[in-house]
Amino acid sequence: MYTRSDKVILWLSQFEFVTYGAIEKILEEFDDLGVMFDNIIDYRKTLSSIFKPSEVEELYANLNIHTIDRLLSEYDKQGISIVTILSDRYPDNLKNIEKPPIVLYCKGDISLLKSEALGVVGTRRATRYGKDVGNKLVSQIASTGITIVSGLAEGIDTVAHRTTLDVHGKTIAVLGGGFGNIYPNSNQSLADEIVKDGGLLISEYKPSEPSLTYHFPIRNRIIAGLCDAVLIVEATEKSGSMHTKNFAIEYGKEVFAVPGRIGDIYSVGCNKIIANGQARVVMSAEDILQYFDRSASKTTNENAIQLTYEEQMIYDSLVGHEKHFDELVSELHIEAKVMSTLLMRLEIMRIITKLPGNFYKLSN
Amino acid sequence: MLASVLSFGLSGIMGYPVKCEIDINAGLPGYEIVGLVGTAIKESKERVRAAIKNSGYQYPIDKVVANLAPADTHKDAPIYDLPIAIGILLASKELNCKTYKDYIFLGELGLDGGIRKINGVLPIIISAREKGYKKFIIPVDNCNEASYIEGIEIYGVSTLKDTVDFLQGELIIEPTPLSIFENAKSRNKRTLDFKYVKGQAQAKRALEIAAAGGHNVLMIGPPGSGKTMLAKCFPSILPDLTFDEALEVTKIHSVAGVLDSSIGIITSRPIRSPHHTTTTIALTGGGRTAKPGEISLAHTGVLFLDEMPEYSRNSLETLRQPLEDGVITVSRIENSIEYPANFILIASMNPCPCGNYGSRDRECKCSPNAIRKYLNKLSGPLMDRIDMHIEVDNVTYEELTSEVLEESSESIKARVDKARKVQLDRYCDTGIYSNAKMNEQMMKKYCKISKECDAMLRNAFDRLGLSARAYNRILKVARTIADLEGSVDIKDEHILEAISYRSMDSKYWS
Repeated sequence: MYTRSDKVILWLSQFEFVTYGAIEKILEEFDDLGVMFDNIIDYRKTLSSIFKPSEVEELYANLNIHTIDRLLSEYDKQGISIVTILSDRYPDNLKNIEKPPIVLYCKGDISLLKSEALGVVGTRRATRYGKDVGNKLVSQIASTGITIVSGLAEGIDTVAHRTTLDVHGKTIAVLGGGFGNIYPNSNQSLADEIVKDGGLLISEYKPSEPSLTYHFPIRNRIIAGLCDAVLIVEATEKSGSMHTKNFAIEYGKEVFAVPGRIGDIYSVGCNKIIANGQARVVMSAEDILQYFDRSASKTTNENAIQLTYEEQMIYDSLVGHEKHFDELVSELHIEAKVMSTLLMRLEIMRIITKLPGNFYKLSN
Repeated sequence: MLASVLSFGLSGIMGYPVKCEIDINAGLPGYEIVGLVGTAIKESKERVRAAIKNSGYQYPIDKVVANLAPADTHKDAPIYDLPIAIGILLASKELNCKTYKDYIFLGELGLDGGIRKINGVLPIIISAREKGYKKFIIPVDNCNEASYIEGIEIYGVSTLKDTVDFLQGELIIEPTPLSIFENAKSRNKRTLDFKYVKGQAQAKRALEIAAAGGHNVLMIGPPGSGKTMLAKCFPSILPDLTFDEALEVTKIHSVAGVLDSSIGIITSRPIRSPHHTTTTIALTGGGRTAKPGEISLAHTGVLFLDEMPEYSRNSLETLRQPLEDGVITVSRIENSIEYPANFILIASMNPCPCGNYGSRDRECKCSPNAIRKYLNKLSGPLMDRIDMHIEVDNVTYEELTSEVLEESSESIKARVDKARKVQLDRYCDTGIYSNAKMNEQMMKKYCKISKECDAMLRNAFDRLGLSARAYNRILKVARTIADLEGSVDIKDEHILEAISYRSMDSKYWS
């Protein structure tokens, strides 16, 4: 399942002194890495132009491809598979970006790498609005079969992955560290669920590598590269999401942004890129689905539910507004104890949703 | 010469007789006190001598030995000054009388011969009465607190000289008249009333249920939303203290030395609100002499913990036993004492470190991780003992200035009293008084729900993502709601309302 070239490139990447640039040069120099490895003694001159003499010696001292076989079977046991830039399974989308990852460590369904994908990014401190809109858009888009790519961070990323899993869609999480060090820790269970439910985790870092701060902006290029369009739900003016946007524009991907209220710090980024024409404004999932030439799958499960008079009053009052418990009590002149009962009944029927702080709104 | 005067000592809130034996021998002038006494009693030597001298009597120029029996029990309170002084006067023949044997003497002396107020008079007198003692000579400042006990004679004295004159029959002191508990009660008017709390309809309703069923409550809301105000009003809707309860809680306050001597008895349910920097010992009781802590002082009343996650983990976890059993056992080297601690816990907290999570007009600046950390400060077992969670939000300007008359505490209390009566009848002879204290067996018996209700409850668990531990809490609260309605069966609307007080179990907090 792995070609000899795959193994050689993995072998090279095990040496700490083998930089990205060095591998690039080797790939330019040699058409077939397998042949290069078999006759490596003959290429001392070429290698010396790339590496220092001591490094060449070290390469020659470790000419054992079996260690790689052992490593691969070890990874296999952990459910990790490898896709190198020379592999057929490597997505073309990624090849076109600046510094495509040489080796991708994958866990899950590798075929997703080549599927149609939408990147969903945004702030880690999502507001209620961000979570709501993110949930609504992603659930509609993911249910049409489009893969949702995000970064497994807190906030919008988590909403994107979680919602996709909820509608049984496909999702890819691009990590900023090795599989052994999922960041944030609290999303470990989410990561496990993604793998279990047919999604995919990918990382350009070895499983043992930690998640370092500077990894994340670099990781964003993979998100931008892997997908066909990027959706930014909520972002401050200077944020990782803006990096992702820059990468996406550079790689010629479409950028969508969710507009927010003026003055909302978590929407400044989105509003700004809409204003300067870098992103298209998103009003509904249709806007994005049109780009992908798809239409929303019609899910008409509008079972008519008979509400009582009082329940109907509450429903009518909540149309278009979020309201606080006390507001409802004073507006509809219903006693607090009765109101609690009615609201709970409506909540169980999934007609309304309770928000933190005793607010209520109609469910989507 | 030898004299023996009766007094009493305290272990926790239980009293035991102490015999003060005084012996005067020829020898070098001096004073020795034995009987495992603490520093406060050792120092009585100087107080007693000065008091005797300054009252105009002769202090013996011989060797004085005082012994406090039983000799193996540690005694620490300075309540033996008076009996020792009387003993010395008797042994040195300054005082001649036979009647002293009828009395229990308690009191601390001043250098001028004045008698000062002491702590713990009420529990001593109650224990002494049970052991058959009838007559007491105590500091006049403690008379109020002792005057509620029937069938005994209390003589309040203010100086050593008065005491001597009284014993010799030269001064007549009338026994303190019996005080009536009901009269004392009418003297205390609550100033905090729910009619001054605008809005907060749901919180008030929840507190009414809590008062009716004795449920513990956690209030969650941003700073300034009125959590403290609501908690302070809460005792005003609790049922009145009965006389027995009042005596019990007064005993504890008397031992702790925090009793207001002008009334002498606790007439309304106490509310204690220890600060969050409080130590574990201050909360549970302890120290060298194993004094009662805040939770015992809150016995029969309310323990209010403002900003609950700010308390040390240690302090909070020690609440688990008393919340379950209604007593706290304080163990020290010298003694292990059980204090009653049966209270309703009202706790409050912010929804996140900055306090604005879920607020209608302020932005929360906390990371999800910070919020999780903050909420995790409350351990599962502790949360298990809190039946109701309510969310409290800021009152708007319109609500604050509205002319609508809010319901007064009095009319809420009437409903609470009714519901309590139902519970008292139900649980008579079972040792519990409220729904909150029901055990598994009682729940099976009194919290039966119909098949339809059960199905609905199951459905609610699914839809709302409630945790399994919520199940019993919901049924208990539903039982109380049914009692408030005067309904024998628990109906679906009662369950629905009870579920709405479990917001901490819902998904969005995690």
